[in-house]
Amino acid sequence: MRRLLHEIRNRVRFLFGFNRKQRELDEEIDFHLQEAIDELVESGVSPEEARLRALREFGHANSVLEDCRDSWGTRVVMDLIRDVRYSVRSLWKSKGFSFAVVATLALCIGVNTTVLSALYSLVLKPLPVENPERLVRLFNVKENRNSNFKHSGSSSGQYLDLRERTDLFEGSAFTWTLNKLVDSGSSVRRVKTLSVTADYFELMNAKPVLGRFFSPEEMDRGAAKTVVLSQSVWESEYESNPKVIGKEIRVDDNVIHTIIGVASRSLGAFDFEIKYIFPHDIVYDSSRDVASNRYARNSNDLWLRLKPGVSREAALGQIRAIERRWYEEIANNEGRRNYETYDGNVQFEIADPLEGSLYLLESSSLLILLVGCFNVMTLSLSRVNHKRHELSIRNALGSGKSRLRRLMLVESAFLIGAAAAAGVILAWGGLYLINGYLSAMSPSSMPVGLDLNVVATAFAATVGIVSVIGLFPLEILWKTGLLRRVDGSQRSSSAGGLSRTVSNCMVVGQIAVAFVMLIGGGLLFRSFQNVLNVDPGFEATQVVQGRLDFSTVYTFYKNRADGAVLKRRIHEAMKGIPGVESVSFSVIQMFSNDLRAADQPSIVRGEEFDPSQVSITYLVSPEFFTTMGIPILEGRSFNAGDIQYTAIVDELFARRYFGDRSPVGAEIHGSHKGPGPKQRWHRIVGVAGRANLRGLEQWDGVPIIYSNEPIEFGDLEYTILLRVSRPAEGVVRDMRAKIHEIDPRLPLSYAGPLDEALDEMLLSRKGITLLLVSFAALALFLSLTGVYAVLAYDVSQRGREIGIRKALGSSRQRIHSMILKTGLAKTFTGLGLGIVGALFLSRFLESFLFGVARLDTATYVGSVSLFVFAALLACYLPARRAANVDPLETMAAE
Amino acid sequence: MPENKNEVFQGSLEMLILRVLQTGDRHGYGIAKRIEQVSQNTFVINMGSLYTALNRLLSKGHVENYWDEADTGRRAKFYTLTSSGKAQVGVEIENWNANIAGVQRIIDNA
Repeated sequence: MRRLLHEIRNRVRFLFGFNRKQRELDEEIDFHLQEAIDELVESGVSPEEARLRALREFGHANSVLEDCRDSWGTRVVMDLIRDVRYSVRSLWKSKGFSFAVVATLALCIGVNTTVLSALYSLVLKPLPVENPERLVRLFNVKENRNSNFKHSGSSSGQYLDLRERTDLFEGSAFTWTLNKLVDSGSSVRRVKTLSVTADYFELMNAKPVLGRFFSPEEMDRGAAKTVVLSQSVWESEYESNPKVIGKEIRVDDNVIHTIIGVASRSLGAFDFEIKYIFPHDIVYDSSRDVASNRYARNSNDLWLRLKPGVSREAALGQIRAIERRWYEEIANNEGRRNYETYDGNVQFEIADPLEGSLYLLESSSLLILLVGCFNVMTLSLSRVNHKRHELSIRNALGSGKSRLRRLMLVESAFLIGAAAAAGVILAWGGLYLINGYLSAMSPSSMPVGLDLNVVATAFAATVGIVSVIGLFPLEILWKTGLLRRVDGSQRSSSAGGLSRTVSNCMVVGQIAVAFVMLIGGGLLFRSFQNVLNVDPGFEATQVVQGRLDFSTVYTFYKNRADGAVLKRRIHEAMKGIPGVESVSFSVIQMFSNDLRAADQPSIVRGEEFDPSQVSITYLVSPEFFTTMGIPILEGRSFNAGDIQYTAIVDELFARRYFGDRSPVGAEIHGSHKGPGPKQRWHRIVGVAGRANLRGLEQWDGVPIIYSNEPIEFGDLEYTILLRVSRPAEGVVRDMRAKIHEIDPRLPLSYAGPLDEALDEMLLSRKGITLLLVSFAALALFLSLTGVYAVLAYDVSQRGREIGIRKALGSSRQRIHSMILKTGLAKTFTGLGLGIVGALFLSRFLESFLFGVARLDTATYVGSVSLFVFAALLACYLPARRAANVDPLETMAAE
Repeated sequence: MPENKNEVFQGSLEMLILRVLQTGDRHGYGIAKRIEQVSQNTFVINMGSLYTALNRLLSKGHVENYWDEADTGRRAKFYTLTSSGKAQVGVEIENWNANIAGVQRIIDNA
């Protein structure tokens, strides 16, 4: 190693003619000194004395050399090598400091890179299409009672209209997202698929990585069925087999589709969950193109690409004009009800479920970085103070400010380089974790990877931090003039006022920021507790669910009676499972945003329609309430003899629609104007307790109407619910076995206890709470390290003062409490600032809170006590050390 | 550093060197001696500053150097004005005079 360095140095010197210049300069200086000595000797000074005097008058020989080398330009390389060697040695010597700094910064960088990568990849990264800003997804939006905007997709009628009548777009496409049962030969699974119009692939600039996309003939309904694979399914299911083209899959009704191509990964950015893409041709059906279909109840996406130079506003204006005309001329102003057409920012829509959380995490991780930087700066400041003596001597020996500055820079570059490397490794691990959560929290999002842009940003930030942290402490010391006093430096009582003020500010700042984070974490934690404490309104632990999908076997039971027989058999079989107390079903899936659970208006017979009120209708079998353990508060439950047109409403519905009156006996209908000619009013027979079937956080959400649906009816899909008195796993096993016995083609999904499904719903809240609380803990820890470092340093510097105090009769307790007071004064100043900050910043947290006010007293008091307690611990050690100072030793040292 | 002697004014050293070299080539020690002599020891030249200034003048191309034998018989590096250096002397002196006049006006009238 040493030989190698030597070799490099020789080459560099040779390269710059360094040796020659160096020799000549030495010779020139030597000549100068000799001349001066001669002259002094001539004037009668002894040769010895003359030499000394000449040397003295010559000034710092070293500094001459350095100044001259500066003007040669070789110095940079030379010094760098020396500085690097020096830094490594000196950092190695103070391992504790080095480790603290590297660990702190590595954590900060790791956390920030992870969160920024996630934010970038999920929200900020441009979509992988040409000119993503010109891609528009169209929505119909309705303002509902909380003036939240509720989205609904577009309809095929709108697509056909816009394709005909607009001239501001260069392309459009229409897609349906559908869950289909796909038998790939190796597995039968229910998966998310996309059906697309012919223009889809071109609009998205998608290229086949294998095979081709649909030809115009294949779009035709009568044509042979074809399918395109997504790249992810091609890789996972078919192991990237290039011979996949021509293979067949069976879809839903046992329809055979031939694989003709694999779409590029870029399509995954729109919805990563999509596994198969089918062709779909639209045939206009005027009977279906009615207002309720056009503006609501759509899960379909209408994609448009703006012509270059056309603004979104202009395009939207044209679209709205077309919609207005359709609404007035064709729909005769019937039933549009507050809907307006909007353009959606495609990017943000996809990341929608995560976006808020990601920004919250991003700001918290930046705060951590801030605390970390404060902390490292405090540490560096006290380190530079420690090294003051050494630096002063270096300065006296001729190292100029720029030289010292470089020394500090090289040192911090080393530290931060190590921290950045460790940070990137942390980030890599963090992303691995995030991707694990992501598939549960936002399955449509593509997995997150380390992005070059993000790493570059992190690198630039790191360089910035290096310069600040590296130079800041030195600048302060230089300003205070301490470096220029070699003689007194060791004895001068403590660091200069400025450097002390600065490090105090840093500590106070750290505490303030950490406290804000602690409040944030505390509020989220309380929210999480509150969510957990929400009474679901049913007995989740005792209910097992499983979703049955009859679409696969539909052809075999076309006859309604056959279907009813099948369902009755399943029902009886479920009842026969040991430990099952009652069986029922719900057509709407539990805790999901099932499309059938769309909000809809409801009208009470004989009363004015209130457009701001919406509700959801759950079709359930009569035993639903006993199975779920939902209490009937008034009236009665369904019974087997009930006709289909009976209803039970929940507490919330009763309160919203009826106030203090009893709803029992009233008649309602899930529309805005009552039943049509072939429909009937539903009579309310009872009021059920509020059950949060859409998730715990929806307790104040949309009221529920339960509609009676006999076992034999059901739908193409429904969820079977079993009330059990033995552990769920065994029941689920039996369930599968029984259903397989009845019809092996019948798939059972989502099988498991209800409380498990509830927990899954809480996953994203749990994740963000966990992260924020750990961020807060990290910030707390860092800031307290800061308090500790400053106090410890203070004590070490004030040894003399403390010794004198003791000698003059101060007791241990007094010294102890003096140091504690200093520490606590900083803590309380920080806390004061932190409270102000939290009062202001907590408003950004409001949308994440559940059942807790943003100015929740308990959280604030709790956080303050926690902080003070922790700060006492941090102050205790330095205070004890101060109290143990031996006055005799101090005096002797003086 | 002797307190009773002044260092040359900031920025004037290069001008002084150029002016001294106008009277003939000299080595570094000679330049310093000459400045001290002529100023009747008003100024003491910090050697660090001197050689740095010489290096700067070299890199600006105002002076060149060569090795020769000094009066004492030792080998020394001599400095000589280049043509651009000769032109520069006038400019520097003019600037200096203007500065001095300015400073004087402030002293008199402020």
